[in-house]
Amino acid sequence: MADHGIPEKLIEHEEGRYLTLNMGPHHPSTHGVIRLILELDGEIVKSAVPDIGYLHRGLEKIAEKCTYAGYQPYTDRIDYLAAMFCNQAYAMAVEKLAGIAAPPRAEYLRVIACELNRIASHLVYIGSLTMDCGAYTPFLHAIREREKINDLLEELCGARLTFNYVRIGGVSFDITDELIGKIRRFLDAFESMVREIDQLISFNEIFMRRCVNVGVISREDALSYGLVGPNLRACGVDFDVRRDAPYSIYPELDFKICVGTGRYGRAGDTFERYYLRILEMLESVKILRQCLDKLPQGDISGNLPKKIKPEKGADAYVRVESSRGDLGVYIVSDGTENPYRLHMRTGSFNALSIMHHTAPGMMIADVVAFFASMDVIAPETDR
Amino acid sequence: MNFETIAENLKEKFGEQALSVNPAAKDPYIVIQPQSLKQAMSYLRNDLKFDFLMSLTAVDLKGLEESGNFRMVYHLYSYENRSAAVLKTELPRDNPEIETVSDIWATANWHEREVFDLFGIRFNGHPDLRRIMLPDEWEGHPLRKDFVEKEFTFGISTVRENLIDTLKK
Repeated sequence: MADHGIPEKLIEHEEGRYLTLNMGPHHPSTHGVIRLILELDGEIVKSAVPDIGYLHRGLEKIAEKCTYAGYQPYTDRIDYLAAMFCNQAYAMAVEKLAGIAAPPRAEYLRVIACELNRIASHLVYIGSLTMDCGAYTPFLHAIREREKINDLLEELCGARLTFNYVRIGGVSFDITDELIGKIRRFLDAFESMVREIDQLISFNEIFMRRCVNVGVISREDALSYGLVGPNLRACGVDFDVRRDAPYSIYPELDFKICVGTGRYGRAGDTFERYYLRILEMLESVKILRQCLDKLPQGDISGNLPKKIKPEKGADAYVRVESSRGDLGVYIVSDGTENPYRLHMRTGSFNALSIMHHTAPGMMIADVVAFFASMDVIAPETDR
Repeated sequence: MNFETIAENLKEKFGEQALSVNPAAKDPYIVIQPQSLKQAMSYLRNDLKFDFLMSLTAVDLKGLEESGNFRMVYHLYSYENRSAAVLKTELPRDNPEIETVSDIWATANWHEREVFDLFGIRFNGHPDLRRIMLPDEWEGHPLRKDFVEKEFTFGISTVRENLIDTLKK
């Protein structure tokens, strides 16, 4: 074992030729606490070994000590930029296990909250990707818009980041007419904002040169490494959990799945991953408008048993399309009030695992752009 | 492709006694003998086109079943046929070992490292089997049900006196 913590066999040493560089764990472009051990030949990356676990909080172990309802706030901490999806995935898994159904109004509210959260998460992505490419201004524009969404979600559930909004069997708070009006006004303004982002950055020549044909992932690699969500669709795989393994009220809604075709370079490059997110935000706006129009009256929480005790030995796996892709929750019950085993399968974990395969041969500055374009969030990889 | 077709195909290939089928479960699953798992996985990937390994994880059965074995759970999905499959297999507690599937799906590499780290299950033929979440010096495997947290970890105390008791003093 070498000093830097990776086995000797991973690096072919040739005295003085290569430089080992630690990128992270506190490098600003690693978005959290992730360490990349880069082996450099001048500016060219020879090998890149990700080192994770700095944010491992044992969330799966904690679940075994909590009741089903008591674990709900912990799910926020899995992905702090898209907590709503983790809330929903966990709630859906318990509902499937215990045979509970949420009322229609709650399902609509869940989708409204989730799609707002998706836009917020993609805005941070756009901001941080452009900042990592050296453009500071778009970040401010993106964060300003995200603040507006945070305000809306705060008015909905009282929290700006760790929402704990989706609960087992429903949601925690109802929406007011005033808030519906505010969301509508936000959506109207947001569409023109997307055009502004396009004008400001998307087709900017410098930005495009940093992104087009950089970090190309082939369709085969994407499947083998289990990439999900926009990262997968950028490689040309036409799949979205919302449409192809439908849950909640998505079958009733009309929206398009955006797939990478290699608009300006090759499919699966950094630009494609970036631009799909822009398109996805517009689809989310469409979904939100439909939900607000169709929102039914009624309860926001179903009939819950006093104690949730699923049958002994039962297990359930559910999938949700989070902003980072297919988020899976697997729960095993032992017939008591606590989950016997809980496993979360997250998009960032897989997105990071392709790093050592794609990064060799890139310039070091491209690694930064490539890494940012994969939308890796440290707490989600480490759990 | 539905569950029955997958089960029938597997039965034809590996024989009735190699697997048992549970179509009534919430997610219907197939239990397979650990020695035929690798072959079954490669058959599912190459012939039945399950191109996505959704999840690979383990469950410690101590406390759930008398055997106290480890159960490996594989969730597969096929983008081509839009269908899912769940495979389970049981490993003995005293020597949990199984063939790796990381040469079939590259994503299994990290998932198996995670299971190795947190459960201590060994994957034969894995190219890089070392801890992924916890530090290399860590002792034990926390997701095992018989894992006992030590009083000190790397010299830092893991227990704290109840604050209310302290105030009462």
